[in-house]
Amino acid sequence: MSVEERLARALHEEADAVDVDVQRLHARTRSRLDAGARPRPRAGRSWVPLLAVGAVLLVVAGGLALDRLGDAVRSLGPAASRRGGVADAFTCPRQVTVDDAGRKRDDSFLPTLEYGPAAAARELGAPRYDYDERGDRATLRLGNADGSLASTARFARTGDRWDLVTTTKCAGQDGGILVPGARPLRLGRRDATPYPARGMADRPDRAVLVDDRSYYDTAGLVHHRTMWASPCEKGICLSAGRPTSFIAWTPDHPRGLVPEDVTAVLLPPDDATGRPNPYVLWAVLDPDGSVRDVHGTSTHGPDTAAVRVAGPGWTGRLYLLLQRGDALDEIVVRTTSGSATYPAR
Amino acid sequence: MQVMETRGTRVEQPDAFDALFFGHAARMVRLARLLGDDDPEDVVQESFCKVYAARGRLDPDERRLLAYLHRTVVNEVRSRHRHRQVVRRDAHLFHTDDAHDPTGSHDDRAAVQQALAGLPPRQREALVLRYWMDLPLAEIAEVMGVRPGTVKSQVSRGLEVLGRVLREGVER
Repeated sequence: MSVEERLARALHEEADAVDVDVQRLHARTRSRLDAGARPRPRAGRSWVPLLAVGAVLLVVAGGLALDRLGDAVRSLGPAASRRGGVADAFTCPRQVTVDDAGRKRDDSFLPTLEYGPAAAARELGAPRYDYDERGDRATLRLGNADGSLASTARFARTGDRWDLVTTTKCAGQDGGILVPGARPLRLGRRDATPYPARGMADRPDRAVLVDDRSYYDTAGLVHHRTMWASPCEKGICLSAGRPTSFIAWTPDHPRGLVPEDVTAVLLPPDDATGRPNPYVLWAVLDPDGSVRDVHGTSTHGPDTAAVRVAGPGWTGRLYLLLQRGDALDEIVVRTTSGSATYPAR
Repeated sequence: MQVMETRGTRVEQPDAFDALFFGHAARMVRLARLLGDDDPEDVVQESFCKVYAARGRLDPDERRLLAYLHRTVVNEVRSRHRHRQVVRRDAHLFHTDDAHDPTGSHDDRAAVQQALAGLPPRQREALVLRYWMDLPLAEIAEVMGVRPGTVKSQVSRGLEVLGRVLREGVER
């Protein structure tokens, strides 16, 4: 059972266990209202600091941390989106269309014309856009830097506002986040020029390139992200994304030897939420060279060996295991003193 | 007969407030409880008083009205968390009983609940609104007063932390 399923079940069970006497509650509330009660003021209430705290994305719990500048830059998108030059037709392998009814399931892409099409394109980080308005209908088309069409959003005018009707956006072959490519289960360099380690890795001079791959964001725009491994205070750390917006992972277990799910480093969690992603990435820190090998097992297929990552001047190593989520049941860590098996689901 | 005002036009709507109350109060109590408040009924009384006080400027559209109610409850719980003067010794968000469950469902539920209780409040709000109320991200953003992108971040980070905590629980 997935974390989402376990969470939903636990919440529903807990909610069901709360017994509410609505009649009594209503009588009490009515009594307060009839007595002329006003909402109780609370001293010093101010939402500004709270919302500010909520908006700060500097550090999150656990081993994942967003770059202090990264999300702010990301949320602003490019300095400007250029109008024009967006292809009329999609060239991506698959498109996902979401209408008003389907938005209940997929509401990851909700462009708004409240501040105009240019602002919408910039907000979504689109390098290019085109906009067509005819009567009570409008279409916003977002494009990548090379002019390829990433997504379309159709609007209908209601009174003085534009309501979103349907969106169509690029997706991977499985309808998911990853741009399809050869040997997707291979870690390493791909078509694009990797982003540099400087600005992302703790020790860029000792960083090792782990992976570089492209994905579709929630607006169907293509990005690529680069993953570096480098020595850090807690052993070997990972950082992935681009220098202005990246995610860093530090081991939860500084003594290592325990598999940790680092899929959020492979794919940006904000863009991955709610979208199909068939892959999982696990990491095992080997701080002292005691690990002989790490591999994944499946009842439905062959074992998968983890990739060992080591670099110049490193005191430890990192084992990375990339596999389809449905093709991995357990992870076996074999050390000089024996083997340990961990569930991978 | 109660008097409700909509869009500045005074109209008489008998039982409109009561209908809203009976239709949603129980669910709002459960929401406040899941968000971690230890007196959820008081939260809901206070929230409905606020809705009543604001009735003259509320959009009569039911969806908008509900969104306002949800937001009021969430804000009320936040406010109480923020201004609580006494640090509770019992840090658990949920009550748990000791009943034995041969299916293991209870153990799992307790583990999830404990993990959820340890999350930052915003992540907990996002997860409860998403996985219990089943609200779409846009509505969660409206309720939480943040952008949809922020909600996605909170949901994904919350799930990430929950997953890790639950896995560690299995390893122990």
